Amino acid sequence: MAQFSSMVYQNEFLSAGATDVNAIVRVGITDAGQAGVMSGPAGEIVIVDISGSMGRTDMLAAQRAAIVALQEVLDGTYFAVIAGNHQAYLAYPPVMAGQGMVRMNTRTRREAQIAVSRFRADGGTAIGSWLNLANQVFASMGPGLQQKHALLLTDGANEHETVQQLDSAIAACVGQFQCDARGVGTAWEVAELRKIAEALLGTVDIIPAPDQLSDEFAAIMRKAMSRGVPNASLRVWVPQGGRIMFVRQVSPDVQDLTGRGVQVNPLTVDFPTGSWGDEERDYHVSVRLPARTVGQEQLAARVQLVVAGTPQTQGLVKANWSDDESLTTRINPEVAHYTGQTELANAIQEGLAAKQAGDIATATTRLGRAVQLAAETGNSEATSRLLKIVDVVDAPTGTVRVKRTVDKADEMALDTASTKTSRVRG
Amino acid sequence: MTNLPEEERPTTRTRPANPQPAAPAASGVAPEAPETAGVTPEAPTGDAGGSGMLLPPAPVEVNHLEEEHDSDPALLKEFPWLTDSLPDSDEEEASDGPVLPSLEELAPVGVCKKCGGDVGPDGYCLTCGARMATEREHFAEEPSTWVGGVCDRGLVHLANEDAMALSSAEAIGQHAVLVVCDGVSASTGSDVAALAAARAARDLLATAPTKGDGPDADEALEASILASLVQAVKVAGNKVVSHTNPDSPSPASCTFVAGVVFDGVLYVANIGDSRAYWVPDSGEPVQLSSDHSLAEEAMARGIERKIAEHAPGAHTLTRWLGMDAPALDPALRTHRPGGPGWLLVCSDGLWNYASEPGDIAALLAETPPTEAVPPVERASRLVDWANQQGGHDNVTAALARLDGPAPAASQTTPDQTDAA
Repeated sequence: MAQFSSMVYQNEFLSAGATDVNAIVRVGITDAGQAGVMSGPAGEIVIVDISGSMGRTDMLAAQRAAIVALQEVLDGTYFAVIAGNHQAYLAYPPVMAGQGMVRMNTRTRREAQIAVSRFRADGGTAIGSWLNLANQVFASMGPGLQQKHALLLTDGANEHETVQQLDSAIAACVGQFQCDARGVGTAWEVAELRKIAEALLGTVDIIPAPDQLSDEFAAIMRKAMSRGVPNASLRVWVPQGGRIMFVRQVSPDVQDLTGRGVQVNPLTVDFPTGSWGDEERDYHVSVRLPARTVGQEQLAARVQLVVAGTPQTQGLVKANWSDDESLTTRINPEVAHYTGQTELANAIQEGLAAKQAGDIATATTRLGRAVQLAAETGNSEATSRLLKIVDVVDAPTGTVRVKRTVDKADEMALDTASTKTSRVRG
Repeated sequence: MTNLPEEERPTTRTRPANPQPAAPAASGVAPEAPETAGVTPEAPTGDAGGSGMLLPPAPVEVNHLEEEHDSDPALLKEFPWLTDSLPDSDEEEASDGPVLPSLEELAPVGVCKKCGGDVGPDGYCLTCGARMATEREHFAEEPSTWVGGVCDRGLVHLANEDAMALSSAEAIGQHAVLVVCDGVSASTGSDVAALAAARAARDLLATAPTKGDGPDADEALEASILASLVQAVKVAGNKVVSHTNPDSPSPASCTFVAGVVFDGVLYVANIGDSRAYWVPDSGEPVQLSSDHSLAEEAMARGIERKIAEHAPGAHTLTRWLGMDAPALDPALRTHRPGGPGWLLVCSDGLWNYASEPGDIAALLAETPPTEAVPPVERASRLVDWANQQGGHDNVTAALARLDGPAPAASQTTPDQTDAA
């Protein structure tokens, strides 16, 4: 039985006239169990790029990875395989009518893997069409399929669709299924896959060499299968007169959830967070309240994790107006840390964008700031990725030089990993 | 929920109170068909020509990979089991998943004093978020029409270490007990200890004394009541000690003041700096208790009250109840009111803002005695006023209304007060 917990980290004391309350809410689940147990079967779709740009090595590696991923899908899970180029094809199941997915068992798994082994690389790339097909295939199963996830692999940029077509497809899929996107090699666009992953509550990453594909796919699928709690929402209540300024996931990676809110009632908003396994996620919640006088104490927010319409855990974010400066001037370490981590992610992305646009001056400043923040916040992973792009003159002051030649894969790795955060030290 | 066409889908949407996870269109409802898979290719190769598939609710063309290639030999080499023959397998039926436990249904536990909304079980209002004071943080007692008091946390302290316990007979002036104990915040557990002490003293003093006959009856009565006050102090002191961990580095301690009304006469005992005042409707108000504090000692040496009470360490107690207390030797006082007025028993959370009897009298006079406002409400106004001044300490105020001696006794009897 899944166990839920929450913790709130904040300085609740505000000076007279202050209005903004910031808190880190840590939500944790243990004993989540396997996907498909809690509320009906889960659905998995593996989407494989079969465009002509996938040379033989890449195509083999992708097939291998898809076969391995299917191995990880638990018996009883509904699944399908989609092959995509400038069109999308339902590669498995070979059904002619009715539902587009079948339950995983020894036979269906083997049949799907054989179908994958028959792929040939050919054609262009129109990722929106792959998403649309996945959406239709999931939809064909009716409302009983609660937990839906897709794993998408591409090797190239979305050349055979307009931006609008991709955006439309993404918008149609929001709330329908989660999608983890991976790009192999360096010919694909980080921004395109990031758009998909952010909208569809998934992750994006680079797989620099095709021989790493199988391990990555197996890991993703195992993680998806370990997500026993489907479709959880972060529900945020603020009091009358209060306003949510933003809600961001800040661990394990930064995601701005603010625009994804669904109003439940005049005081309450639900932010979808997808499916959960045994894990902890940290959220930065920022609320603005009408200023009150010293001595007033109230809630700034109630933050709950809601599953199947019912709150499973609740954290209270408080506001306590005081004239004791020793209390009001304290900065909560978790809030400070994640504010820094968010700034780090922005600094990396802005720095890389500037570099790609040829604006080396801005790139140097922003990536320098990133180096400084990564050092301050103990994010050693970010530091080592940054070191592939810049030479550090002095980390504490953020003085760096952008390297003359940078491996494209290293640059894309820094980009895709920019949102990964570290936890507070000690 | 109907699927909207993509261009109409807003970023936030209003849902009914129990949102269900997003689901594809329910059967029986025909939404707009999403875009067909297989966008018209601009690229070369591959005419798909798939077979149609019925995907509820509307049939949609779906592509299948037409040409059947052979399995790539490299893959067959790596996964030789791909071509093994399979036994027939039965499909397993999925079982129903376990039901999630959930937080208690959010039934409201009270009414919010600030906005009138429901207070949730977490103690905060569901509308404005204000924290509902717990019983210990704010409570009132109204044992009769002529006795009432309020005990409040104030605005600044995190806990209410003031305590109060009242009792009263029905007939005005017949018998009443007003006890206030102020827990010392530096000591541990004084909120619990102070409340236990106040209640124990009140319970002991609530037993009405009996007046005997004979020429010395009045003196005997006074002696017996004063003796019971001394006993009440001891009992209260024992309660504080029994609520203290003997190994505690800062054992619980508190002040004590008790005002007993019996047959129109006032008897007061105190330890520490919680006070009792007599405020007549006309005439001079007077402090009946005697502080045991450094400020009081300074004033005894001739230092002006305003200076003495604001000097550093002014509130340091020279006597208190608790494990490490010096002798439990209460100050005792008897007072015979000459006319109608108020007995006020209070903690320093109130008198810090109005120490002179005249200041206290002025406060009480803001609600004239002729107005039909019960003592508990008047006490509440005193507490509110203290909070308006800043509420820097816990504040307690308890009032007993006396109508003055019976008309037969005399027309205007001047107050008579004896200190023991």
